[in-house]
Amino acid sequence: MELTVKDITNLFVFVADTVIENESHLCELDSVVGDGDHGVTMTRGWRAAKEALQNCDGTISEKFTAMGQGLMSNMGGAIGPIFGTLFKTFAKETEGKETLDLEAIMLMFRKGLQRVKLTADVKEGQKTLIDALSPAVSSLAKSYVNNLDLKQAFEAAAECAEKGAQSTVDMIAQKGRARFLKEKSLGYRDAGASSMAIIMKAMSDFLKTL
Amino acid sequence: MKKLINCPEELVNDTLLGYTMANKNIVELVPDSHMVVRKQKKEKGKVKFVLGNGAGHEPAVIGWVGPGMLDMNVVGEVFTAPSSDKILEALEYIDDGSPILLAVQNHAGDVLNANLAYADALEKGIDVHKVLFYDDVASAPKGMEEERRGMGGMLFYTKIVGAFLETGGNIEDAVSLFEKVRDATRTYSVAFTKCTHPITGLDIISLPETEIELGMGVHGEGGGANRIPMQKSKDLAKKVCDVLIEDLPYMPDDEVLVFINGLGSTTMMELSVFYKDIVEYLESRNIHVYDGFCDSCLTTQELGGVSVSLCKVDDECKMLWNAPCQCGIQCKL
Repeated sequence: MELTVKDITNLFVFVADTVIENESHLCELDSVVGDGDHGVTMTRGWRAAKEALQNCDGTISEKFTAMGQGLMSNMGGAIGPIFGTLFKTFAKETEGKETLDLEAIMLMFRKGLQRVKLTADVKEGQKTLIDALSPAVSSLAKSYVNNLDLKQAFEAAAECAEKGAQSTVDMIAQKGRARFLKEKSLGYRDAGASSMAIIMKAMSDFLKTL
Repeated sequence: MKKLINCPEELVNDTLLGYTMANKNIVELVPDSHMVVRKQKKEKGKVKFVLGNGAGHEPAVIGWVGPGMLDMNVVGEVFTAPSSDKILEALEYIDDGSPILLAVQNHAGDVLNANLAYADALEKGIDVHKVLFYDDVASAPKGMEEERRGMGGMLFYTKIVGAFLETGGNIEDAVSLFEKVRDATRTYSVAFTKCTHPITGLDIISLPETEIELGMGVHGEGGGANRIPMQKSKDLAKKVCDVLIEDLPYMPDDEVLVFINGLGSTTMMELSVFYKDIVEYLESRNIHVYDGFCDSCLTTQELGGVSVSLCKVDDECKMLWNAPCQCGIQCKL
């Protein structure tokens, strides 16, 4: 199964709509240890990304560039550069490609994860979005090696992202504002990791409809 | 939630428009942007002084823009650092070939976006210099100062470095002066009552009626780590000063500037009482208060509470502190 530029557009429009639907849920998660506006920021960014995606009449790579720019510019804060970097890396890794198969998607996610970790100076176990993204990327690689199809690969990746997001409950925050809470951040799920899990789940749900 | 708002999407815009209207002799808003600049521009050749921050903390720092203070404030969304492309746009706007000093408060979003904008600006040939500010003793232990948040002590560097640059100080000396002020500054804050996010309407922090929280950050991040019963002003002044004095440490016969900042809803009456008690306690420890400032200059909506910042000063800092300036927080009428 290979995704065309039309599939990619529909896929990320669905992701954007799903993120926007979760606005108040993400705010509630953030309000426990943050200032309670993660959902507002995500919604602002994904509205812009959706618009940029629909207005861009280009290649897959150009669509990712437009989304990355929309996310980075409209979110601000720490999350803006993180999502901006992720999608700009997707754009770079898919240059010249007319369709994306599991191998291409796995590779762009792997590179995206590396770039985000470098840009934000963050690693696994620090109670951030990486704790959902990293296990999802590992899962995609495993699925590729085992010759699974795209739908199965994303179903597994979404499950791993969700497990990863849930694992942040037992972590002490070491990045962002939550780190000032030290051990008081224990027992709460990270809002950024939850966002990432929602995105992976939305991707999986959409791919099932193809 | 009872807040004077039209619509959430226009909140930051409306804030910047209104504030610049009310202070139109000092600042103006660059059209279709979140950039607040001085009305009376600094001469070409002199170093320009720029700071970016999230909205929701007014009058920080739009009210700190003006002659002898900042040349520009680039503002993000509510409690959100401006994006790197907005910071880059700001640097390009203010660039006249002279060096630019970009001050960054140590918060994850501010640092990430400033670093990206800094790299892009250098590539475009802009002579930008980046300095990082941290002063909050509650956010990381001594010895890990670089991990600490930037808080109210930014008033000292804005005033002192701002005065230095107004008179034509060069960029290398400005960076050293900034670092000198930073390394002589410490801040500690206490929150009394809750505040709400102006867009979500959710409580950012809630506190029991009789308790206060020591070490609260500017976004209410504290989480109950250090709650104590409400104190008399004198007792709280001693508690806060002891933390600050021990941390630097400030020594007998040191001369300091004091900045008592209201976090939003604490009255000038209370701030004045607290200012007196802080000064008296410092003097009782033989730490001499050279001068100070007391107002709500860096707020978090209607959060009740105070932050106390001290800065040890030498003759150079004293002279620059006394230099004239004009900005929203200083010139109320």
